[in-house]
Amino acid sequence: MKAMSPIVRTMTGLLFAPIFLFGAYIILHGHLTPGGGFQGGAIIATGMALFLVAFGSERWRKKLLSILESTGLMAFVSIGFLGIVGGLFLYNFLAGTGSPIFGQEIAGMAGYAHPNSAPLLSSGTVALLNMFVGLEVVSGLTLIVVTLGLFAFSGKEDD
Amino acid sequence: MINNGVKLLFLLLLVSGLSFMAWGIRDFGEPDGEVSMYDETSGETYKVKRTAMDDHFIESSQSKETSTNNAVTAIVFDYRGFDTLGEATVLFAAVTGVLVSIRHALKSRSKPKGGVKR
Repeated sequence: MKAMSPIVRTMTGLLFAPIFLFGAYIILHGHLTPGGGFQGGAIIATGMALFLVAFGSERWRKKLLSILESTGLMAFVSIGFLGIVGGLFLYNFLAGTGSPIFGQEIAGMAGYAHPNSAPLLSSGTVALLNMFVGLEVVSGLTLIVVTLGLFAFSGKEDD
Repeated sequence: MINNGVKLLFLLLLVSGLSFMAWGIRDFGEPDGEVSMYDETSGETYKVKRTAMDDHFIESSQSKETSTNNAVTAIVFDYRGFDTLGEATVLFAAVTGVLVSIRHALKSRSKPKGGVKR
């Protein structure tokens, strides 16, 4: 796939930043608002597909994407094994401990379930797992789209 | 090689064992539990019957157990984290499959261009 016209390329450069920001917001706030790693990763991968259409499928670093995808899944499993510290696989060993890594407690929750505010650095391993799943989804879906684009347009020279 | 009779016997054993286990599963949502609710207009508290598992998720997902404000994410990534690991593995397997098959096709497509015709 060849690069498209300068108009499309300029608009892609303008649009990519908001798309990336929105996806990163969905991923990083997965433990506070609706959404999470899968959904935000799909949003960022949509921006990557826009990039692919505008700039062509030749100069993508597929090795780096592949490494990032494997890193996401490996980190997920590693956090799961770290949970054995608390006694179980995937145990949430950081929640509510007061540690600086997502360890803050939610205030005012004595047995009642009602909407309440919460700090960003709460929820323990849930936020970390969201991030790594997001990394895996972004790189995995981008890899699929780029590879299919290469396959679909590699035979034709003039188009 | 195992012959077909042994395979069939094993399959029957598996099916009968799983059916026996499914027979012993308790009803959906068991055991029952009660939760006390507060009515704002009349100012009274009353009891509502819900399942004990729902009560546990609703009450303790936002408290110290996971301290996750989004209860759905607390269930997906904490209580059912193993299921999410399976989901991520499925995505990984899909990407691996696409890469393996398409890379092979790309290689075989670019080869005969240079010289040898098959």
